[in-house]
Amino acid sequence: MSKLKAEENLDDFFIDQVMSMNEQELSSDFENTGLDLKEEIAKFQQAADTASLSFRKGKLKAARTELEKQVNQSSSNSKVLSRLKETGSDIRMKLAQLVAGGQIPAEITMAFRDGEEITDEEAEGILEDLIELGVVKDDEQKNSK
Amino acid sequence: MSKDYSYLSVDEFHVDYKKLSSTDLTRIIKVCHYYRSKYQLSVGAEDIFQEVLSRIYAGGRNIPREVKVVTAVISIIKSVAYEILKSNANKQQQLEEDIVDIEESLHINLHIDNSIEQELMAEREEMLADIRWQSVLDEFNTDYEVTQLLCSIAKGNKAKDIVSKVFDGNQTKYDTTRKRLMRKLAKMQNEGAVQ
Repeated sequence: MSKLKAEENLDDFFIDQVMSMNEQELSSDFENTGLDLKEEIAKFQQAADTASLSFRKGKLKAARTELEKQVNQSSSNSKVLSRLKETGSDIRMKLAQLVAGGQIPAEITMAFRDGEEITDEEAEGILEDLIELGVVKDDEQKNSK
Repeated sequence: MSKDYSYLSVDEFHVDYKKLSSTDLTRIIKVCHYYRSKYQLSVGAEDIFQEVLSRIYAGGRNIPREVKVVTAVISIIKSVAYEILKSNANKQQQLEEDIVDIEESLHINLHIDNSIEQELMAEREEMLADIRWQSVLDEFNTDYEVTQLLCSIAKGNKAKDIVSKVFDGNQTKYDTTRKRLMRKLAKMQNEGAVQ
């Protein structure tokens, strides 16, 4: 009989035993090794942290990029809204024109149907949504194209 | 019909790994020490684990969805520990030492081509396995029951067969013998470790 095969069978036996032990049995078995389980856990956790470092860095970088994108988008929307206000445009009027022109998605049209009852903040919110959806474009953006 | 394997993504593995219980982590630690001791590796048990996780995070090793993460990680530990043993640096160094020993003892110069080298490697692996196996048997040379248990395990017998064939159906005797074997193996892991 090949001793390599004998060893492999002993490996399988050992792993089966380890997998079937409960926490108390494992802890007691660990004492026989003369090693400190807490120290070992700390060393292994550090090894795991080191191994996953570049993965975690990648995840963090992706999250930051996404956040920056959202912040930039929000900032860009605010600028468009500010410029509309600066030009003296009436936001309700602007929305009414867009609704009449059929340029607005159905769900927003529904929200604006009773336009008289919505507050200025809500009207601005709808306009912000439309800017984000690209329905309303900044004059500067248009000119630059 | 071929089976379609589906694997965890690295993200999914990361989430599942973080959910591992301390009991499962202890199992992983034990298995790393077992292989480090078995192969007398010059790296720490935690280094084997780090190498295993590095490969999984780099996408070099996949975890099948239908296998528990702890089981899959242990399976990868087994193969990575063996790869470390067989690493080129180790092989080259050991082979060079062998050649020098042979040359010195025979007062000749050896020219070794690839096929002979591979043959020597295979022979060497079997020889080392023989030495390792003998050292395990030696640990129990005064314990007849454990020796019988080891011989039965070596043949690939499973628990049920061992109980009936070696212990005449006496489950209690099997359990106490099995525990003695595991206790000694645990002790050997620390004694046999290369510092």
